[in-house]
Amino acid sequence: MTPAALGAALALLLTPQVLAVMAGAAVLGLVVGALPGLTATLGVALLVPFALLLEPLPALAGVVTLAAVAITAGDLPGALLRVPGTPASAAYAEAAHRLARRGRAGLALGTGLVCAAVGGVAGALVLLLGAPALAGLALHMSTVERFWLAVLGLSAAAVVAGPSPPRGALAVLIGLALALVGLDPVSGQPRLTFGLTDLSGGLGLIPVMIGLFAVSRVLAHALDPKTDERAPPRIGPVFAGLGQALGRRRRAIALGGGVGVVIGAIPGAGADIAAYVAQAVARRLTPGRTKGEDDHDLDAIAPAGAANNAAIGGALVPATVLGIPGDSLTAIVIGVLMLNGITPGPAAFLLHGDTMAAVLLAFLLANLLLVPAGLLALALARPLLAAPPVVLMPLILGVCLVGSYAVERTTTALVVTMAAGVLGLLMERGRVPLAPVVLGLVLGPLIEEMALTSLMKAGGDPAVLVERPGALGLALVTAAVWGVPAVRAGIAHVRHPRDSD
Amino acid sequence: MNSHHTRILGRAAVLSLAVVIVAMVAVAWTAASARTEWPERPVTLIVPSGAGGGTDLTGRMLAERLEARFGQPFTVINQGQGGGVVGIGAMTGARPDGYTLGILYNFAHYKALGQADFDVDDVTPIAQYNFDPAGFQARADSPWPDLPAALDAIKADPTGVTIGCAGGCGGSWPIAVASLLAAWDIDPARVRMIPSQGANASLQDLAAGGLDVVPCSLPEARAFLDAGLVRALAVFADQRLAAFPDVPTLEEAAGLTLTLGAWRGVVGPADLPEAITRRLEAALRDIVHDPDFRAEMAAHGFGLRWRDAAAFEAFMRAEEQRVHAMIRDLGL
Amino acid sequence: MIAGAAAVLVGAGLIGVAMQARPVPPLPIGPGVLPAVVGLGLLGVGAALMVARREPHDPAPSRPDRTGLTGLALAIALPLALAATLETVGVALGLPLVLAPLLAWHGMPPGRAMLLAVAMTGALLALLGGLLRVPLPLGPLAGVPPWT
Repeated sequence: MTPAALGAALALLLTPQVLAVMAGAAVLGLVVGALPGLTATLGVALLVPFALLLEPLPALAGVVTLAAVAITAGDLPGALLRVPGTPASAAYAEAAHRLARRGRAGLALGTGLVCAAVGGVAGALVLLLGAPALAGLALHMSTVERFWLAVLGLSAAAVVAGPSPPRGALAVLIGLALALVGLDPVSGQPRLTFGLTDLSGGLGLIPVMIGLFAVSRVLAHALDPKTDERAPPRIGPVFAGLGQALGRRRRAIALGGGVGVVIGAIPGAGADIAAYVAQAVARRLTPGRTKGEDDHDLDAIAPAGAANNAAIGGALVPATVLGIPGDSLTAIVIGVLMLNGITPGPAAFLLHGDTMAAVLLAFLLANLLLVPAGLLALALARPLLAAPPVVLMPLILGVCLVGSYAVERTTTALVVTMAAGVLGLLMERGRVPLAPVVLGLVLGPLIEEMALTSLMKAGGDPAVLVERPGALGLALVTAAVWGVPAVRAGIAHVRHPRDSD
Repeated sequence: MNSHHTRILGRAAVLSLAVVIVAMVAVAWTAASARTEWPERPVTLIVPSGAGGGTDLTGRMLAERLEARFGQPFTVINQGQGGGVVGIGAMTGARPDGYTLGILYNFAHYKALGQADFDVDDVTPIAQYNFDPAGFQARADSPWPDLPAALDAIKADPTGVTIGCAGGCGGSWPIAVASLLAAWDIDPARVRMIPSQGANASLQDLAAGGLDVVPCSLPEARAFLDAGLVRALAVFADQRLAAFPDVPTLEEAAGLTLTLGAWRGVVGPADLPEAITRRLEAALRDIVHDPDFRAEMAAHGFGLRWRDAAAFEAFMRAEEQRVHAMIRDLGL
Repeated sequence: MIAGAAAVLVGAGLIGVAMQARPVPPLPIGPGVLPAVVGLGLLGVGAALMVARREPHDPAPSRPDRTGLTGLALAIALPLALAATLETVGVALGLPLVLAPLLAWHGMPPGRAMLLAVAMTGALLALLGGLLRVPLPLGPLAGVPPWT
């Protein structure tokens, strides 16, 4: 982009009206993101009627601001209540909550906020500067490449599994088993629906996630009210130690941002998968030198927090460059563009160059707005923590029930939420980690659809999975992710058999 | 924590409060049902697809105008789970009191494929407002210059060509392309039909080189056509579309007359009271013939097609039979 | 140990489901593949968990008492009752009936519990229905709130 074009775009962007709409959208994004059940997609969909009343630029600036803020606001209930506000925060909600119980919620959220801003800005810069190249890459993803990408994502489970590998594997398998419910993604045959039409669409990621993380806590409190009084989460200082925590994880944050942009750009893979994969990649490539509990948890937050925000920028790449939506969020963004008379695609940059540049700059600005918006939300959240668990738990339950109904619009979703809550309680008592379940639930349908449709194209010949160069490359990466540590662990096992589980 | 005694007392008080609330509900309920003229309260319009798609967009356009005409909110509810099966099931299962209506689209394959068990008898047809003809898309660098070349290539080697279903195999687009193949003397059951999560997903796979042909409407393929990634070889309509003047009709391209594609209409649960159906039909007639609505539909690339309740029902019954026969032939 | 046994049972069940699934016509494999893979995985992990020794530093979960179990039953049964009646009763009237007994059970005076439950519901409805325009079933109160 030339300096003149940049100046013109900035002049369009920095008007009181646009900035006011962005501030309003940021507040709405905080609310939507922090309430479990309301996702960034839903928030943007809710904004569409208002977007019709506005000029194109404020409308679009509002939409991108809301999306960026909502993903980050999901961290807030994740840290304070161990209830991820959106699936994109599920990967590190437990780590952030452990920090909060040690009185370091401020540090956890501060790290999350800054990483989100860094990741978001990285995504915005890629969008501004390198979008066409990345869009070309995204368009070369056939079902075969996406199959390997999903397998690679599942490999991330090895990292989020926690201290006991069999229990982590059990959690992933529980997620995959839950993903089986519904019409199977290839032939559309009902599977494990027990004849219920409402289950044809599967169990629903949001109701299951709310049940596992939030309702299970309410139930655990009902079972034993004393558990929560032992170590109530405290916010503590936000900035103390933040610089050091971030500085030490420079590489992890950069990796998270990069992974997030690329995965976000691939149609069908979103912020949630990006967060898990970034965690795994950072763990593999940046071995920790420090071994404290706090450091361990911050290691989980930093790359994933950067990745889920960077993924939004990535997802906007094919949407703005080619007019092709990668997920439901970008589909709505395209809808808003079209309502405002801009058909996204290569021509949009020629016909409405200033507007498009201003939208991308608005996205950049929104990611910088994250930090003050998040600090404001943190200040507002303090009184919530002062509420005794006796009051807090029924309130959480109420939000969960209304939230899961709002997203699925069936009463079956409430039953699913409660059942997932009981499952979460049992898993907690059996010391089975919860985060890998979300990973299994997200990736199960993807792996199945991509594997089976790839085989169908080749008439059942499995060679199709490694015939394309991109697929072969991803397959080798996956093999390396599994092979190298396994060989290393095998050697270690032979030397010190008692060290492994 | 309070003593055991106060707790029992407390529970008794909670119980009595609950009884009071239930009584209030009952009173409010009888008061509500005592009113007569429909609509006395907000009407729910079930859209059996996710937010942001064509069905959602057109549904919201209709809801806004119905609201203005009847003076009650028409609340759009998105239930796209299970490819729409959940939403259609919720609508057919609702009480036929005029307060739950729905948008319906090509649905006959759900029953034929064993995914759901609703048919035309489970709905009260009110009006059809939209029809989008299928297009026949191939990759921009595909070796076929035109439709006959593509069909001949498929005829020569049916298993060497993969066709995306742009959704589940059995939906509007694959049925259209299967009818075309049958008309060209190709056994549709021998061709490799690949399901996906929708037109967009199939088109991406087409652009990435994973598929050879994707049938779907031209507006759905617009971004890919404009970006020069895919080519439309024909449109299954009796005349060229105004927005796509370069795409030949099926008759021009291959000498066949088939008008096939996706349709959308407004329905209610079975046994909707006649008076309500008539009022809705009249209101929709006004809306579909309103220039403002027509302009908005055209701006998004949606085709307009008006059928009143009787014609819509006849159309759906014919469609149901044709789709069931075609799915049998496909061997699905 | 219990988790392992449960995993083995569910795994066996999934393999049963997989064997009943009908494959897609052109291919010999279909809807049964993933259930079979997941089922086998569960069998393997379940077996591994059943033979694993309990680590000495693992804290045993606290044994629930009767009050706790009653509280748990209440916290599960009330939301399920809400799910069964939501479409007719609506959120505005139904949710306080779930929240108030839970608040009272944990020792809040009943009057305050009811008030707080109604206030929580009202705030939630105003936020979701009023500010965010999420349609929620209101039962007999449909059309009453100012935003509809």
